[in-house]
Amino acid sequence: MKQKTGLGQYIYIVWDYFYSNIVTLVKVASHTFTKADTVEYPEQMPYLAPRFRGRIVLTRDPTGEERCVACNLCASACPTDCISLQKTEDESGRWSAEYFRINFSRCVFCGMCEEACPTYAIQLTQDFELAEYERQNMVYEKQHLLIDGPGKHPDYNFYELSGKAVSGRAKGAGTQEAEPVNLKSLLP
Amino acid sequence: MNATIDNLVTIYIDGSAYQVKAGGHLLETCLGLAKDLPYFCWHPALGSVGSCRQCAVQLYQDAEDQRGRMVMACMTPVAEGMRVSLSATMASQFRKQCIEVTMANHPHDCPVCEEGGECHLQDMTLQSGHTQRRHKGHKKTYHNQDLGPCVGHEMNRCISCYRCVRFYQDYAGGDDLVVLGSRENVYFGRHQDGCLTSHFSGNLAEVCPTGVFYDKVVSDSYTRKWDLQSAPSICSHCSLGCNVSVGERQGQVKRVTNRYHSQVNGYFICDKGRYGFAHSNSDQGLYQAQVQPLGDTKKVTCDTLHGLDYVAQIMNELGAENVFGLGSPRASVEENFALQSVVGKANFYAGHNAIQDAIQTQVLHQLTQPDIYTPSLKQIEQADAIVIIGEDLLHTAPRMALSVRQASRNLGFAKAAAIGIPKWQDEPVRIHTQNQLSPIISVTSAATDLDDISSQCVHLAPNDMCDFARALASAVEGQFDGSGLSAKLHEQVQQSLALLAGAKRPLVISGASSQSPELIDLAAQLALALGRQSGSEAWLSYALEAANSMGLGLLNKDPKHVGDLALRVQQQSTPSALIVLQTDLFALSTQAAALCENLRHLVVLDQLPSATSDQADVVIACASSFETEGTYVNNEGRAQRYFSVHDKQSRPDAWRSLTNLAAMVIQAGPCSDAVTQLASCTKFDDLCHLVSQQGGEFAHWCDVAPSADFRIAGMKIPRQTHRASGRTSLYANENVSESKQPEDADSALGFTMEGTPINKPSALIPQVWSPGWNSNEAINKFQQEINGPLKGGEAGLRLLDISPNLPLAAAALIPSITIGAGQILAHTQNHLFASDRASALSAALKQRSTVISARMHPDTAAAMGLVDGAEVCVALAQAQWLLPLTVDASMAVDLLLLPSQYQAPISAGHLPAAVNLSAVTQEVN
Repeated sequence: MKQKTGLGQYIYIVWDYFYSNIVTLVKVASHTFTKADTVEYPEQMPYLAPRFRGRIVLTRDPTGEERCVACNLCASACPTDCISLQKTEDESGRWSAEYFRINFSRCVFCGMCEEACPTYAIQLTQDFELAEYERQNMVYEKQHLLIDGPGKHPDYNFYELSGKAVSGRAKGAGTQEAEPVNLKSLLP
Repeated sequence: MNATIDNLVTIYIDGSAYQVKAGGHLLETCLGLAKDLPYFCWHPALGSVGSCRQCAVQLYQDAEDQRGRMVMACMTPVAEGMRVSLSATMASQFRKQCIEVTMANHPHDCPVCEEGGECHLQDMTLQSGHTQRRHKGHKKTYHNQDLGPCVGHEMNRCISCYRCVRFYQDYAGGDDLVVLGSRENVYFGRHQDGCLTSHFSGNLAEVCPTGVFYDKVVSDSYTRKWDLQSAPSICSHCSLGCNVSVGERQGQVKRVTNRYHSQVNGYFICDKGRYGFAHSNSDQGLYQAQVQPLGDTKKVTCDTLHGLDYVAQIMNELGAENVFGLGSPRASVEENFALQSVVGKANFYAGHNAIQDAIQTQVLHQLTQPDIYTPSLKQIEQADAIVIIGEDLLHTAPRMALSVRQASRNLGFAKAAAIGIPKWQDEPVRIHTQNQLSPIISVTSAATDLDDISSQCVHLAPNDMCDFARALASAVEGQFDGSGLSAKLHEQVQQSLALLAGAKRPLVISGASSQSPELIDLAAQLALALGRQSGSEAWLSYALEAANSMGLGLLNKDPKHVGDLALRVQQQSTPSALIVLQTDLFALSTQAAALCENLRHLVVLDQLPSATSDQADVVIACASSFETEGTYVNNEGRAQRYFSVHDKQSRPDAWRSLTNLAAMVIQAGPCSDAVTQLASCTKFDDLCHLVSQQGGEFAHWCDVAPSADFRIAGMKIPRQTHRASGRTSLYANENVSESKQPEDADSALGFTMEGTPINKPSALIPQVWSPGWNSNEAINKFQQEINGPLKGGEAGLRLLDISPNLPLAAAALIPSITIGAGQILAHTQNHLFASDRASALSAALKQRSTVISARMHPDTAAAMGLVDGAEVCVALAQAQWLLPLTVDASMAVDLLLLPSQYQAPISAGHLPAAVNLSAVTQEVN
């Protein structure tokens, strides 16, 4: 750009100052006649895209058992480290979470946990209304997270496919599993 | 130097030239050059069998050869001018297909697998490039077995690499884990459900490349490897000082795994080290200081500083000369040193009884002799003839038993080497060797688990053992006339002599559990004689009483033990106080009750309650070895530092309590220099500096491990992994605002995930991890060469090597035990999982401790009118013990073996002794 000098430079600066202010004023004033982007929340609910990610829930498999097997993948995928849990195991060998805690005051709803979850247990819902007066109340435990249904993947049942024997499903009874090998057989 | 250069060859890997050591195979060479090459069946300690076909590489004839042929790297010796390619399409495609076949039957259970996240199979699958299962058929399934409280079994996951049986049978000598079935239906397990009997079974979880064998104790409160806050530590259960990695989460120790040390434990630890950590989490532990003011009948809890203040008042009241300290072979050098400084050298006694003290003195006397060398566990594996006298190694120093087992193969290795078979060719060596083993002579009072590899097993009563050792030593020198020996013993000596005749690198092993200072001396005489015969230095190794027996011995060179203390307190006219460090007086000596009677005050610093802490009027709870830092000196004199794994200590460090005590004492008035110096210590490094000022063996104490000022790129070594999760959530239920990461002023490690995960002295790594290598197999990235020392040098310092002092004084002789009429000599029989309170608190180990019984030879039992299974009453002084009797034809005559049992009426510390034995008659009401 050509550098203005002397008097021309002063005129340019003054002009530039007034021009930008006038443009701004005009633009702001013009918004008086445009439609507002905001909505009258909460009387009027906003549009949420189908894949909107909000409050996290823990789902159950089709048989009603907790889907979460406490594998810890969600916790390790979480960029804000806001998930923690502890594995426990029942007599039949089924893993589940002894406690499952999400600190929603840190959660950024990125959905990495849902992506990491190998059992479709952790899912993000459309609920974003999490505001609290006390930040401490944003710490959700398992009983706050667990819902009664399977959520987005109604038919998936991890233990059907895992090959691990748990209550109600013996070895070899899962999908695509052969009968347990009979070691005493001499047949070819 | 020339010899080293001669051993190097040049090979070309993917076009680049490398100078590598000759004699190895391609796989270990490539891994040693930090290249990634997948493998399953090879293990650095187990050698190559070439069965998994995973390490395929392309080998070219010469520089012109473009096509090449595929070979298995683990089975191909490196040769001069060799040209190989890891990235060649054919080899990499082959590796990918191979793993695809392996994975066809592997279950979809990684999320519920204990190995997930540190799985060699996961790593190798990713490394080979196989990502999608194409096979649409059914997956094979297997029934699992119950393998006991320590090791879990999930056979579906098996990839048939055979590592488990090769470790369990071939390396550790177990016989109850076998491979069953045929063809592709092989099954790795026991003939029937039941606890794995090997004392090294826990290593299966580390050896198995996937999750077939997993650690059940870890699984009980499972935490993924990446979430563990880990610290390098030293096992506190025996005198060998195995390096372990301790993992913690939310204030609980979650697991203990092996930490590689090329000279000490290598790749394996015993089950006591692995599963004996529960004492640290136990709710039975001491967590708060307790004080019982004079005249009160109950102890009240208070904070530690209050308790210490009370102790300082006691010390000022009674006068420094009337306060005694009792150190412990279980406490670190620094803790013992701090106590020694507080009470003064003259008032410091070792937590040993007379026999233990004499043994420790004798051990130091022998190991400081210029002609005697005490080998490390790795060096023990190089011995070609071993004499074990009076030590049931598997129960007192299990990792040493494993080393002895490896040494027994040296004859086979030599035989194979003679026809050009290298050591790593596992199967050919075994076939060529057949059952020939290097001579191992085991002289014990009863059958041991090493008898299966012993060329000669001699079961003798303790006195006969001394005669045997004396006779064998003079026979080796050629001065043996057989006089004064029974014909049988004479024959046994002759047999041993013949076995030892050609030995080039003989080794004598003895130890504290023989409970005979004389035998310690005779073992040294035998080692010297064998050394002279073979023309090499005399190799002698002792298994000692506890983790820091050697450290306490070096600190307390004037032999002073609990018996001396009892006598001194009794003779003293003024009231006295005793500060006991991590010792149970009552398990140590029968004089304990009398000693406690004569004391005005008894102060105990401990982490677990004991009969002594019940008697004490002040109890100061102190941290276990997982919660604090300190240094143990192992049986070969190697000082090794351990570090705290807990960021939130549940109880203060013992050393810090003692420095605080010193500070309180000096406030009250003038006191000794040692107390003043101790009081000025605020950090662990200050204390280490004080220890080093003692000179002698301790002169280089500050070099044992890097100081707290150590930084890499301005950061400490992180105890957490870079992937640790849950930082903003773990404690959010207590307080949603995260607290600051705690700082560690006492070590080179930080309670943080910040820091470089790999570029650090490998000896200080809390956990092995390298990009793409999440399992413990990542250790190859930290070794200078496979099976070699760690990068940056090994941890620890061999004190006996750096200080060639004059030999220390020999111990005074212990009067022999007189056996009255109707009495019998009782000795201890150690049991790995039952003998101490630390392992008694581990539920898994408790289940594995066998049924307790006294043992006796059938002839001796018959002479005393006792039968097998009879209930007997063993009486020693005031103590009586009712237990069943087992007769055992393999053991020595005129001897009663009593199990070493925690909280038993007669503990190991009371033995050997002449005891009264009587059958219990059923009372008729």
